[in-house]
Amino acid sequence: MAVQGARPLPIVGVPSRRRRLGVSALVGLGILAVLIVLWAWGALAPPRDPLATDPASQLLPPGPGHLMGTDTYGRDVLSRVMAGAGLDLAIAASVTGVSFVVGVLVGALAGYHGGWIDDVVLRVVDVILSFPAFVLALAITAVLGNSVRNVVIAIAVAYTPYFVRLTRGEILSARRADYADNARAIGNPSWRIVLLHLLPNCIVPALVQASLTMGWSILDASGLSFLGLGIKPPTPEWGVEVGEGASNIVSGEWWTSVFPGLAITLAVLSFNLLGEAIQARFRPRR
Amino acid sequence: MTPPLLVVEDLTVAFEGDPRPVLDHVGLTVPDQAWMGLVGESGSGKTMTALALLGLLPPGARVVGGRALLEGRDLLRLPPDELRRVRGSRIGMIFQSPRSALNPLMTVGAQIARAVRRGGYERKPERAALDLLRKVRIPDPEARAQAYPHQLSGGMCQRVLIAMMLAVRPRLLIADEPTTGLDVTVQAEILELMQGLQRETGMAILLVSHDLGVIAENCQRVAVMYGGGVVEDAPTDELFHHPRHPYTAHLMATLVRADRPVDLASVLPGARAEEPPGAGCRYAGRCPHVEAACLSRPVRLEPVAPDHGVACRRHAELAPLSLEVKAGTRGREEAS
Amino acid sequence: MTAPLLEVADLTCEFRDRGRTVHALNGVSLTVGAGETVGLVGESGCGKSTLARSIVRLLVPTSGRLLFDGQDYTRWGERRLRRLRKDVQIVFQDPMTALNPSWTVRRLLLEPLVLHRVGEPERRLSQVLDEVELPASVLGRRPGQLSGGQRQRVAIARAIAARPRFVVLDEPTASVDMSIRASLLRLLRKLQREEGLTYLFISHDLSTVRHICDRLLVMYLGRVVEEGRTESVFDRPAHVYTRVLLSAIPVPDPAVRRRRLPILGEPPSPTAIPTGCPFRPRCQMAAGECERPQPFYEVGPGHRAACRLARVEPSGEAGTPA
Repeated sequence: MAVQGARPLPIVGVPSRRRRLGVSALVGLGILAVLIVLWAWGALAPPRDPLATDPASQLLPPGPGHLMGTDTYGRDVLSRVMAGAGLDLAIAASVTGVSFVVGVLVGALAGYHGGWIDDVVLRVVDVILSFPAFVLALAITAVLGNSVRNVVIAIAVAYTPYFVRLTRGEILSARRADYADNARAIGNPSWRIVLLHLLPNCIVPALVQASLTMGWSILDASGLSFLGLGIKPPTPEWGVEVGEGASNIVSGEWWTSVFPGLAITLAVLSFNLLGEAIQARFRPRR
Repeated sequence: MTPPLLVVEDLTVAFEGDPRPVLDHVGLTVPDQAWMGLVGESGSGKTMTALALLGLLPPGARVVGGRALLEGRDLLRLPPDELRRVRGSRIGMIFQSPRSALNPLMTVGAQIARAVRRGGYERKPERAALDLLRKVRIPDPEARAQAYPHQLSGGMCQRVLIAMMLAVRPRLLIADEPTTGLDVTVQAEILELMQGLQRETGMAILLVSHDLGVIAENCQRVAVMYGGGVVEDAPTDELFHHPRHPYTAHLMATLVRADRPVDLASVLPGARAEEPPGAGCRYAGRCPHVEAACLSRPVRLEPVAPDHGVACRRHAELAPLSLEVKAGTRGREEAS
Repeated sequence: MTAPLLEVADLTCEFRDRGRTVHALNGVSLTVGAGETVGLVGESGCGKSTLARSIVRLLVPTSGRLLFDGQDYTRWGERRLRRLRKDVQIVFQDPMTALNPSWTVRRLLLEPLVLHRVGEPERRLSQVLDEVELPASVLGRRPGQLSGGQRQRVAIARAIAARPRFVVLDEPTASVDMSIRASLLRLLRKLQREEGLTYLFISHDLSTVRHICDRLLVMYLGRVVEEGRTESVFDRPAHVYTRVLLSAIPVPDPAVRRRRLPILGEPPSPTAIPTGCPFRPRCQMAAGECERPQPFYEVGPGHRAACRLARVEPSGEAGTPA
């Protein structure tokens, strides 16, 4: 029972620390900004056409004419990395958007309603989670066929359960909070309690998860393409580029796969850092 | 009169990076073999004072100045391991949440037995532990000795802690809100046990509480804290019947008590200071008798009688006023 | 007396907890007349919070009836209850947890006005802020940025914003500092006069109850054991438990020495309710007849207690079964 003076340590007097963006947020945002600039530049004024082959300039090393060199078909690697930025970020955003919205809503419903809805949702989640995400996405694209839309669907299905679980757990503990009872007692219908009162206080873990999912889905999309089950060549996509260039590494033409690979690494890194930053910023405040 | 057991002078504690100290020149004298009350509202610094004396300040808080002499030793300057020894033997402590003060992985019997061993009196600590459980009136002590803290109620855990204090027999017991959150019937029993503990061991008890009823019934002396400092320090009778500081008077005038009704209509809307006052008196923001001079420099506790300290520049002028006028619950004009 | 505004009839509430049945309420009956303040006191585990939550229908009682203004709402569904919620409100003990931490005061106070379609919400907002004596400067803040007293005033304002007729106050002063407790009580009384409110005031703190309640009910282990006018209960407590409870309150006057009445054993568990008088196992005065359920005995006008000792007053005056 909280009686006055019941708090073990008075909070009064603790200096209010100004919340500033941490190092990880700055680095993460910085990398993301670079990728976005690359994409915008590639979309508006690409140095070369990313699809234009040129038999005369096959496998040129990085140099003044081609900053990242050219690939087996003489296409400009920089232009292809730029074009890939657009496609990969779009895939990541779609995957994250779909799994976030679906996962959070289903999780909130299961957590708040409980009962049989909760049971059904949990069983489905368990089934999906019993496959490794990548293997599941692999199976789905193998069945649905490989188009950009199917790649998005496949990866989103694999990541939705994480959002369901996180949100369900948060809502489950929040709905027992006094303010949830207060919201009901004041006359709120259930949908308002969940959407306006509970979710805003439960969303941070899902936001962190969303940032991580952005990174992971880029990794998965490239992985699928690398294996030939994702985006089809010659579409400029990082995984496709790494895959096409893989054979050249042995013969010493490292640039064809290292630059798109670097782009993947940086993108994943930036979203992981951002996730960490979101978590740090919204750490329970008092 | 015996010399006091603990003398705290100018204890100042601040959080790193915060220029305003949370405890500002706190002075306290805890008489030997008696109950001393430390009363104040949340944020007044009463718990912080207790923690500073025990060397258990929260992270970021540091003792900036002052001293606390217990049996000739300055607690604030003891090396950590020596302070730990003092805490285990010379100073005991009881907190508001007794369960968190007990080891969750050890039966309470074993914990008391360990305290008995530390006290160094008994050859058979387990047997002594049972005797102690009986002494703090825990029903079915044999079974309860085998229980873990989470299996006992809050009141029971507080009894276990008292039993441990009986084993260790410290000279000073610091009890921070020991009965807050307990039911009144349980509170009454715990306080009675503590009375017995004090009589039996002759220890001094520093009782930190927000409950003036608990303070009035148990303490011989009381210090009132407000905004990180002591504003009045007096024998209990004096403090309750002739409060000198306007804040103490306010507490007494607006006391919601069970033994007789209080005229609620006389309570003015709570004028509460939003901003802490600057260099001056810490109560200036709420004081009905504030004047310009109160704001300019710090007001420290000064003796107004041999045993009575008040931190108010105008205490002499205010002395003849009635309690309500001094407290500000009734204006001067209405009173005349 | 006219028909009561709220009537609780023989309410029981049970729920399962780790395989055991908790009997939180065991046949509680009470009435609250319009404009009255009825106090409900008892210690932890007596069922007072369960009763509060049942009355505002955050819980569904196991059996018994709840009537507001003559209408039985015991089994109403959530949709129908929403209309009742305009009239019946609750203030929780700790505003720190009862107010949504991420909402501003403005949003918290506007919500009930919008939900219950109160006309000119902005005007009512500033009016209610005035009524609870808060400055307009708090509107932009969140609960965490207010003092304890201000927070509870916001919680009260949120409850009374849509002009309810009945407010359950569940330990409203337990979380605020002693120096503002009196001013909060004064505020509650002022609001009652100005808004014509009816209160059910729930507390473990008898000193608070004494200052605001017209009538008092004492609960023990899910049952009402004594009820009467506040002064009557304080002056002539009839049930042994009430006497024990009153004698346990510390008196803030060093000149007064009270004598505490003993209580036996440990606080009870609502999973194992004794037969007969629920206080029997802890009562020093318990006798054989206490094992049978005790009827209420009249000990004064409107004052009755379910205790054999209430039948024969200490003065020798005989009470009669009510």
